[in-house]
Amino acid sequence: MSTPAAEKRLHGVRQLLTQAHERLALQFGFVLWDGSTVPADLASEALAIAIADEGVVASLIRRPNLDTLVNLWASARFDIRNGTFFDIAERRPKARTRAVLRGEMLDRGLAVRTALRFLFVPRGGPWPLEDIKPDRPSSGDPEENKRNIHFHYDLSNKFYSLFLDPEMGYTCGYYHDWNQDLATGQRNKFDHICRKLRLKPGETMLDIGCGWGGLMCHAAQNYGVIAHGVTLAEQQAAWVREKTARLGLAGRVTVELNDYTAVQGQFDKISQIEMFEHVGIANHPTFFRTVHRLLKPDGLYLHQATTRVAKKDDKTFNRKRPELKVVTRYLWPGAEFDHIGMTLTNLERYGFEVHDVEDWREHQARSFKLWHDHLYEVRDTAEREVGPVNVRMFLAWFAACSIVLARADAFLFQTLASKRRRGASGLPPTRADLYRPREPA
Amino acid sequence: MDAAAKRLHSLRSLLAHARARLAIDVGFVLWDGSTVPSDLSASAFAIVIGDEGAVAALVRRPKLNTVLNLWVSARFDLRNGTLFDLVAQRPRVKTKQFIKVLDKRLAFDAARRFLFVPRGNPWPLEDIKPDRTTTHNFAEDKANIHYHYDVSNAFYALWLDPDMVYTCAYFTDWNNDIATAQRDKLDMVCRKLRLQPGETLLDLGCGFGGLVCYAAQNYGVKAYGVTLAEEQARFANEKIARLGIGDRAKVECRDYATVEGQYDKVSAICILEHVGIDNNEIFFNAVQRSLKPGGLFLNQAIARPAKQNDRIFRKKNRDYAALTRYIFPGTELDYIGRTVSNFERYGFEVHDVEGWREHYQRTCRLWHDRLLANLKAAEREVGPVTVRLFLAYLAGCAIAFERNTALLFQTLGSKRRRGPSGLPPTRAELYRPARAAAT
Repeated sequence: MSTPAAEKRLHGVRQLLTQAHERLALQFGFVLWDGSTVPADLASEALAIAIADEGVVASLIRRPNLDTLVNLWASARFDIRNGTFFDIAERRPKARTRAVLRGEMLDRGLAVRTALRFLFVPRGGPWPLEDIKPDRPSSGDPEENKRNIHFHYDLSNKFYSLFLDPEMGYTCGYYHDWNQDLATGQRNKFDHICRKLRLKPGETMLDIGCGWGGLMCHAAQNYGVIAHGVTLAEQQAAWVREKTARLGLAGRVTVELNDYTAVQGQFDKISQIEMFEHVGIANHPTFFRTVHRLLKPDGLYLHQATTRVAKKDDKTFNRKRPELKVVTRYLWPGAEFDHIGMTLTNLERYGFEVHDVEDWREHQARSFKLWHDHLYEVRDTAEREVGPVNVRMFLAWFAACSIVLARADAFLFQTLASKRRRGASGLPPTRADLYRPREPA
Repeated sequence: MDAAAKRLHSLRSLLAHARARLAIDVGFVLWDGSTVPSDLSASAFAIVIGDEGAVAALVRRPKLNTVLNLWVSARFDLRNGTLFDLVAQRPRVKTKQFIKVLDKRLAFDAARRFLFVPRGNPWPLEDIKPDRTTTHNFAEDKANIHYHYDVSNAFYALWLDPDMVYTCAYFTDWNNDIATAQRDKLDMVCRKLRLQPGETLLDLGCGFGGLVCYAAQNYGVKAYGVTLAEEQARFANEKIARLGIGDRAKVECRDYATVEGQYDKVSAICILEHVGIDNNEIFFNAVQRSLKPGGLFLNQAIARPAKQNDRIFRKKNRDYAALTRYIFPGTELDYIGRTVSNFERYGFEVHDVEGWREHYQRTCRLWHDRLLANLKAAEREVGPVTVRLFLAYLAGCAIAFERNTALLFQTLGSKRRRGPSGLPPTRAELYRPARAAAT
């Protein structure tokens, strides 16, 4: 039952979207809450943005920011029909976002009149993410680290196993060609890390932020090392213990549920695969000092992390953009990204020699895309496991990360370092050994 | 005993004491022909002190500058060995604790006796002013480059490889000779740049044209190189004419910032050191401007390890100050973190950084040994002072790379843009067996 006012609001939105659709030559349609579409003859299998109720429009008009959009998306009041974020991104209008927002492409009078009609419409609900507090960078306190890691990684092993590869590698894969699948990409990645670390039988290896133990098991099984991992996620540690028992790797692969700063001993090789993002920029000195302490004098350290583009100075760099704020508030609390120049500078400042830096931006874009697509396929099962809000948040996150990486606004780098010392580093003169076919084990 | 004899005697006692106390296996030959130890064999490795002024100068100003002046004038010399042998002989005690280990009375007695002895002559480096960093003034840059690179092509030909490549070589095996290693370097640069036939290559700071010629001959590119050294440009263009590749290769004497046009690929092999840290913006903007969208840029440069902060980093230590004063005026060595940040700041995506510290150590060592092997010819060409200065600098650099106080990096960047960078997914192709190269 709609009032004349509601009717006018619907009409206004429809008009506005129709105009946008024409003037911006949009290649996707809209489905409004009364079932009507823009364009009116939109095919039922066409790609479309679905707006579930007028509260969606009202809340976007009053608070047109990413937080609003994320809440609407998570509650499926703002949805995509017959496609994914990638499809929308691909069919993005050619006009610059800013020009659209400034209203240059639209009839301003119409836009203002429509907006005014929605001004006092309640935003509706649910508003599922409202209780999550804005993020703050990690202080480095182990308790806080634990809470942050728990938030994301202890969600549900079953959920992660629905869309990750069989080894549960939840970091950038490495694709020898761009058609390789997720599982191959993850296996290649584990192997490339083992090669870069020049692992030899009997050596000890520490994996800081070991996740579900994929790398450690690969290294122990294929390179004969004794691997020790540290994670703050209880479910990950439990998974690793179960997996190593199953594979008969007990004793050769161990896991410690602990803060990385509390690890004792010294190791021949250390890997840190995308745990660094959780450390926080203010704690980078502590991080690199810890790695230095844990590494034997002739050891090697492989550092893999997501980075952002350097800005003209670090003050500008440290200003967080809204996208980053959303990621850290709803998905990755405490996370901060540095730029690769800062990583290298810190490695040198804290006593390392840098040997090899490799950009895997496009590999990471593909990994996120594949995770997104896998999760999208099993989204119904996944929703039963962790609820629709979580699934929708992960889908949005994977898509956003993939798109940001594809646009070269973020990168992923692998950096190999040794302890800086006089004389030979112990590395071979060239990197050719990384690319030789492997003799059968 | 007269005063001069007493001085000799006190010095001999001190040196004998130092040898024993520091447990070093190097002898001394003094200006009167006497040795420490007195039974030093004629084939033993020894430091030769040419006159008492050398000792006096060191007592009064125990600095690197003093040692260098004495070294280039051969008043401080080595017998049966090189600077590398001397460094290998370094006592286990740290330099700063030298004095503490020695008998104070003996040391004081010797010092006192030499205190008022004239330092003697020659003092060949005195007229060279302390260095200042470049402001990217053309005349200044040109003078700086001319100082080092225009010394004499015949001199450089005595100890460089046949292609006259005067930058870090690349040893696929540590036993490779300099010619092989320089070829391998040129090839790796071409491979990293993924040079394709018909592409255009700009080589900033092209030296004697080694890369320009190699890329044109083996990768079918059209190569253009610029240098500020007239002698290098002349050499390169003669070589291009000799090879008959004038249609594909060209070298000009020109400032990198004035290059016009856009190229598929840009290389800058050890020019950034001469640019100066404050002029990085000019440099990177020039490269950005000279590179086509989708193009690749390979930068190779010597670096120093980052320090706790920039203020400390920019303070020159004595070795570095001597290097820029006497060898490479205007030079500044940056740290790789800042170079990589600058890549990103000025619109590049960084793809690949490779540390070649040990390669440069080996390169400098081979250059030194080749120069030493051609000592007489080199002295005839540029005089003993320059030759001895180069020997000291090449040895000093090799030692700095060995000690990890100097580094070398190759950094590959592309023009940052949305979507695929155009590079293959892995670096495997860099290591595939060489294509049949037509040399």
